[in-house]
Amino acid sequence: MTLPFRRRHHDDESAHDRARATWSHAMLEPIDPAETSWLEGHLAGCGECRVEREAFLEDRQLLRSLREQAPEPPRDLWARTAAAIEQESVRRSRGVLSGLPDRFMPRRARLPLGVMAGLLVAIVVVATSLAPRGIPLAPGPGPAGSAVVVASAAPRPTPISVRTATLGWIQPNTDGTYQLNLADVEQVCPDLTAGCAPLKNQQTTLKLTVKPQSIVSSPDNHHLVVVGASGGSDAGSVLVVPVPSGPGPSGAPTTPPTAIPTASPVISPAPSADASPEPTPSAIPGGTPQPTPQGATSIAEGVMVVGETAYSPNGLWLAFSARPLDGSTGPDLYVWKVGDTSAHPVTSDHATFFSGWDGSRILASRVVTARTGTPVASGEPSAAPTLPVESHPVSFLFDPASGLAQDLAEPDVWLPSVDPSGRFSTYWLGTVVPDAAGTGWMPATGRLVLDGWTAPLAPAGSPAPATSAGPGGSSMPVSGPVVATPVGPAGTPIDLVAGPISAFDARFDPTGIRLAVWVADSSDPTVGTLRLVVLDRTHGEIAQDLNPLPSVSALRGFSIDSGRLAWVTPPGQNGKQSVVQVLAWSADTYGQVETQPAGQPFIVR
Amino acid sequence: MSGTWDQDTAAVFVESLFVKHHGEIYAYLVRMLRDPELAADLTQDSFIKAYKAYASLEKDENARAWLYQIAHRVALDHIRHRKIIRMVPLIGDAPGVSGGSSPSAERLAMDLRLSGPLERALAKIPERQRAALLLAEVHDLTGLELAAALGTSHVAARAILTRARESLRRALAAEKDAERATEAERDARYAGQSGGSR
Repeated sequence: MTLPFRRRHHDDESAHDRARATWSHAMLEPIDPAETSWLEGHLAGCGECRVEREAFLEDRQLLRSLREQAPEPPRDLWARTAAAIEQESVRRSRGVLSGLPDRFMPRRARLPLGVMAGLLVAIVVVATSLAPRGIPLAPGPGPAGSAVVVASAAPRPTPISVRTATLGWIQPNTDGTYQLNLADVEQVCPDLTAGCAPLKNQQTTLKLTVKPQSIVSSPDNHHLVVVGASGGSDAGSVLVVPVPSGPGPSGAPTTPPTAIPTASPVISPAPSADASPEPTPSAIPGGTPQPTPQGATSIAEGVMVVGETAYSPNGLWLAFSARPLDGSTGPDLYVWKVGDTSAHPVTSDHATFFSGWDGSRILASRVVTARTGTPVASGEPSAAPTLPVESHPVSFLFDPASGLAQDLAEPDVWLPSVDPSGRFSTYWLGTVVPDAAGTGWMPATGRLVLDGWTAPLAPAGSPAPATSAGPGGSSMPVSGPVVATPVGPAGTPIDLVAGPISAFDARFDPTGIRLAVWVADSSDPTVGTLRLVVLDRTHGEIAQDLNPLPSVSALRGFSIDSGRLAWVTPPGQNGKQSVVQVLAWSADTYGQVETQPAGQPFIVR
Repeated sequence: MSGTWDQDTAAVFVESLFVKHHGEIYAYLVRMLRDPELAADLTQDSFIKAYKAYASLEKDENARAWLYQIAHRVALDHIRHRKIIRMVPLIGDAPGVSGGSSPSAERLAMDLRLSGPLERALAKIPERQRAALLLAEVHDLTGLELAAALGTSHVAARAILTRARESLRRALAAEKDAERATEAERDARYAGQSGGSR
């Protein structure tokens, strides 16, 4: 307290009090520079104050250590709270007892918490088991207090807060356009049937003239790469589409980014069935890309993308494998440098399949020899019926910047995928056979495995002369293997799936400790089962006690990214249309959320 | 304004608040009350009160401080109530009261013995000062948020915080003195036993 008349020593005390208040204030928030100067001056002349201030700072550190000991709230907390809010809502809407003070209201605290929680859990179980699956537990038109209202008041489990990478998916509109949905998954439910965490998404209309086969997002989420399906007028194109910035219909074309060309020739692979090396790609006659609505730009036309399409982790490159639309040859590896006019093939053996990225290098596979040791002609599966059935794959790393390629040391490695940290890998270990369509290869004898990985950095020296044979024995615009240090799987493979299987897709999350594995059904290669494997951080072994997604039915084309795995359910399950389902996690806590049923959603990878 | 807002909007909003903040609100109440079950109970009460008082929230960006303000009041109300209840045995036992959500005096004493010096020191300083310290240093509220949560002015909140720091320093010093005294007593007792056994 400040008194109007004070003796001199009280003035000193006042200065100390002011200093104490000032440094306490400064510990809370930035203070006025003049106050800072005054405080520094005072502390310079007051040793006792300096000691006291240090003690305050030590206490503060001690207090902040409590941040590391955050207590965990009970899991049924939301259930209890939601039920109480619902009760309050009903009370308000009815106007019953509205004139009575709170002390006359029935109190939740009359019941012990344990009994209360048990009752609420029981209500949840009964309500969810009685409610038709897929129908939200919302208040119905029936009389208040009916069973429907009880169901709506049923407490839901406490949502699990998660922080995930943005999830994207598209759905066809009736007018031929597509609706792009972007969602930040912030909460999921321990039990999907509880529906406690509706997926809130932003919707944007995306005008595409091509039916998508797959869609990939750039790492910065600013562009989508739309791979056209084989049917339709614009089939066989690979489009780069700017992501519309705002929600709602967007009819006006947006200006494409300067990095993306709009009117340059598109490169396509040679449509000839000739297996001879094609050192330079040829342009499609008259293949000037036609910008599509919303600033979409074609980077490849007249091709059918085979397998995956993926950006490099740094977002500078896009890679995929593609064959001519007419199926005259097998696929080659294509690379698009962001900003270039078009994608171009970097192999010409017509037998290279893009597999993924290992840092800045592309992983790809090809089929080299048949079991008998006879080379498979051109790698063309169409010629396979006359050749021995099972063939041996070889995989290699290719640096798109330097043009250096290096075969993996391990044979019979097909479509490897390496975790972003470079510690683990997954691949088909075994032979392959031509697929039913005769345009690709599928696993034959062998197994899908989890393994370690070793891949020293590519040499920075000059590449070897291009006279050495590239992958597949065909020429490539890259050097032959010049790196002595072996690269590839390293360790003891652990079986994930035993063969034979028709197709698979296995990829890691950014942490490298979660691996999503999709395996196609034998009867329909577009449908399969998906599971999430969690690895021990230290040893890379499968954590048997963590099985957050044992096996679910999923269409081909899942998306795994930071904090979540998303997939599309096959239509017809439980009488519903397809939905996008998301498994998301925070540390070792997992939960799920799903969209409303809608026709043919596509996950943005 | 009560009753004029859309209940569904309020429910959705409170649900989103719950998802974002229930963990920290619960932690704050545990630290204030040193009773996890009671903290869970009062966290629930806080969100129900937030639902009821939705119309009083002027800006969504202030929701976190507003929520802390509600939780703080709920905690202080409970502490005051608890103090009243503790007086009841002086004039007669109240069946059922002591068996409610309030921890018994014995339990509090046990908690004090079992927890560390910081927790014991915090427990000994006035509730409002304890709240100010926890909100500012553990829950990272800004000066304005702290003022809002404490239901006072910015200047007053800073003054409370300064007094809280002083109180904590004294309480911690007292804890250390007590620890030293206990150790000295134990050493003396041990020395006495050792001397007697010779």
